[in-house]
Amino acid sequence: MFVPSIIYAVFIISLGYFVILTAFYLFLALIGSFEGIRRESQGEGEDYPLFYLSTLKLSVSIIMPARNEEEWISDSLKSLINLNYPEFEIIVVNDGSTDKTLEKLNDLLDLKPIDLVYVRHYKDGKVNEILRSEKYPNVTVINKESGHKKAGAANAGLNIARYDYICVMDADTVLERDSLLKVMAQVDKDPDKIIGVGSYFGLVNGCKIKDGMIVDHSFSYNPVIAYQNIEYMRSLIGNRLAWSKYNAMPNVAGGFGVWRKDILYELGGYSVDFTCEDIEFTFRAHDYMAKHKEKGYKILMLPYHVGWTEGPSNIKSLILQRNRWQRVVDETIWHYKYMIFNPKYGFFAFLVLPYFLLYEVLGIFMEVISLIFVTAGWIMGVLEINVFLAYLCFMLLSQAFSSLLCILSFVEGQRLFRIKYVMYLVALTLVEFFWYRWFISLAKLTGTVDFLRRKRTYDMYVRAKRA
Amino acid sequence: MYNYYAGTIWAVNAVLLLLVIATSAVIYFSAAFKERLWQVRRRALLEIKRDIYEVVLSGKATSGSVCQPFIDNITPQQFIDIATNRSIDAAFFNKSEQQLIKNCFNSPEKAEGFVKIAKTAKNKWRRIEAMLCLGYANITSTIDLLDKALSSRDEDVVYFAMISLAQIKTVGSAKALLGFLRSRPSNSYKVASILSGFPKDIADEVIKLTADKDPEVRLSAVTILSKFASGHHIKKLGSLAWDVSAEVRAAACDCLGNIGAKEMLVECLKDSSWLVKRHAILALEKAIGAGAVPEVIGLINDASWSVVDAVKDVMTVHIKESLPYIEKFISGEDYIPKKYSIIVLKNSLKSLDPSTKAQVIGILSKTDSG
Repeated sequence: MFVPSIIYAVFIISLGYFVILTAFYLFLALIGSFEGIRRESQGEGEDYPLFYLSTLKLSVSIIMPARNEEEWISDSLKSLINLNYPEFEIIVVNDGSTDKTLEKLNDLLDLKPIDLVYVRHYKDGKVNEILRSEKYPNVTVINKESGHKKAGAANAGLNIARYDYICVMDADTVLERDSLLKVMAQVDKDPDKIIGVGSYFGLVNGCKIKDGMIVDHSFSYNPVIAYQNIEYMRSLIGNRLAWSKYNAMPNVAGGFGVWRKDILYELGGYSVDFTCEDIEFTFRAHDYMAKHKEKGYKILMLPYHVGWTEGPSNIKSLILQRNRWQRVVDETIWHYKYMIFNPKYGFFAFLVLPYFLLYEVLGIFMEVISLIFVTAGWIMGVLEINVFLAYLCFMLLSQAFSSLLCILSFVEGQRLFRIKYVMYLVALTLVEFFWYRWFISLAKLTGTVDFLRRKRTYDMYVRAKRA
Repeated sequence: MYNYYAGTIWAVNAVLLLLVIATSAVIYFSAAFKERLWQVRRRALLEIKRDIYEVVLSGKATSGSVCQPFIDNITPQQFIDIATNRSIDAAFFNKSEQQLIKNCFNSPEKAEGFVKIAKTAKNKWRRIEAMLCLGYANITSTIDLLDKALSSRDEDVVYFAMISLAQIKTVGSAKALLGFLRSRPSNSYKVASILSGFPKDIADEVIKLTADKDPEVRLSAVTILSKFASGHHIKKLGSLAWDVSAEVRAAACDCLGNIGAKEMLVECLKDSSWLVKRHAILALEKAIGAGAVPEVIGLINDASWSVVDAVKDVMTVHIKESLPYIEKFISGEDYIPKKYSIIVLKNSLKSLDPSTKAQVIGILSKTDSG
């Protein structure tokens, strides 16, 4: 009697869990769709030349930490140099690369050492030299030793950043020419209130790049990449746009994110104690603003495709990356647990944090345990095959439906993917349950175990060689 | 045995399956519709471009009759596409092509149509589109309508009313924007950003705002003035250099620098705020160039590093005039002036003429870091 009772309890709880999850995704997708359409309409009507030519400029320091990025550094840097923005500087931080990253930088920039007063305000690690480009006077390179993860490298850039806004991005990200213009034009609407902004970026895998520009948007049909495209839509468009509407953005992604410098200064820059810096810093910013009773502040998510980043192209690399992502979610939620259901933090405490706790942190246990119990129930004869299959079908369909809602939100707002590719993604959602999902579950599980084992390293997967 | 609700779950699965199929179909049609819509938009813009080209080639570009087909056929969306080149992937319109269409649309007949949409359309984005058309067509008679839109409850309507007024660069539209700035100082940055692109005629309107009670409004007014201020505003700006708000005083210093008010700026150097001192130093350099060095050099010992940094910048730019002071600092005992003097010498080495360079190397060789 005891075993069937347990199986029954797990069965009912997990069923309830997936029903709530599906309803929640439906809610997020609807809100995200409306918010996406609104933001796209705002972007359509925006007068960018007016913003560009204004004498009151929102100047931006772009910081690009780079560690062993010889494959990408030239293209990502060229995309920055070609940015269509009135005033910006580029700070590349070579974070102890052991490959040819620095040589490539030198070839492109013609670097010369400069004597700059380096005030160590943020925790950064040992800086060996600061170089400036002879060709492009707005490009500076900091050559430092590794050891403080990406956060330390970003902090090193912060130490010499001159402008009021800081854009931190990945060295494997190629930006669109108008990316900064589109994002900062939104900040320009209310720079006193807007403290941070993120925007959509997709996967570059498959696209053809020439001199830092995407010349052919032919997205990869490799299912590992295509599934990641769906996940990016789910995360950046489906979820974050909706959170942003309620000013509860949980993560200004490290691939491309803009912060007001005074906020970074007040918060002491990025933390080197966490596996990754982006989500933790976003939580800290919410925490700081709430504690200082700064009402009306905004952290925005925008649907404009600002750039393209490289995604892992094989399962091994994918698991390594997702393991790291899971660890940082666990670390952050654990660190900021006092914010959950604390009225001081508004929607962030009552919507985002419970979601993160239930689905991002504990969700993996729910999935695995429910599947084990239901399968065991069927094997032990407690569950009929009819019930077992109905349950699996429900898991499959609820997930497919959630993914399709996000694709729909994305398609409504953007004209990025060709119809053939969109339908390929639709087809993939129907079979996600049979394989991809379980690799992600495995990565989440190992990530959680590594978190409990206090692993805090920033593991980088090996970059694929580019043709 | 428990009842595991198999029937209910299968029923839910059937609903989910239907939803999955329906959503997939909607995605397909939505993507196809978007792609088709884009092709139509692109083709239409290319046709307009071809028509404009033909008009220009025929030499009738200035004649009134050429406008009628454009007025009749171009939609508000296409007009904005042309005026802003926002659909550059489809077609690019150069300045003269844009101007031709803008002139055509600046007609009472077209204005009436846009005003009607801006007032009555149920869809907010259609109203906004009509407002933008009024702005891009430079229809000055509709400033009142746009002014009213600035008091809308909808943030998007307010914002795009500002953008529309930004296109009509007249004293009238500036007045509307300044009135908005006064009523909603929280939007001051955007208004100041817009007005900084207006012609100088608006300076007298802006100067009225410098007497406002709200420091944020005064700050915005001074910020806008930094582009327009001329000699006859010097008295008013001089009084703002003693404003209660340090930010306003600092912005006033920037203005004074633009109009070359040396005496007032020298007074500003005695301000108690580091922000004002910093701005005064840089403004003085802008106003009188190398002549600023003897005035600001005393602040190298200031308690604020920001002020010292500004002095360092002035010394670096005017290294020749700074050398006598630098030599004195280097041979002296004070740590800060000594340290900054060495930095200035090192930073300026590359841009110096040979004789000054030799002089600098001579001074540097006497120091520990030489």
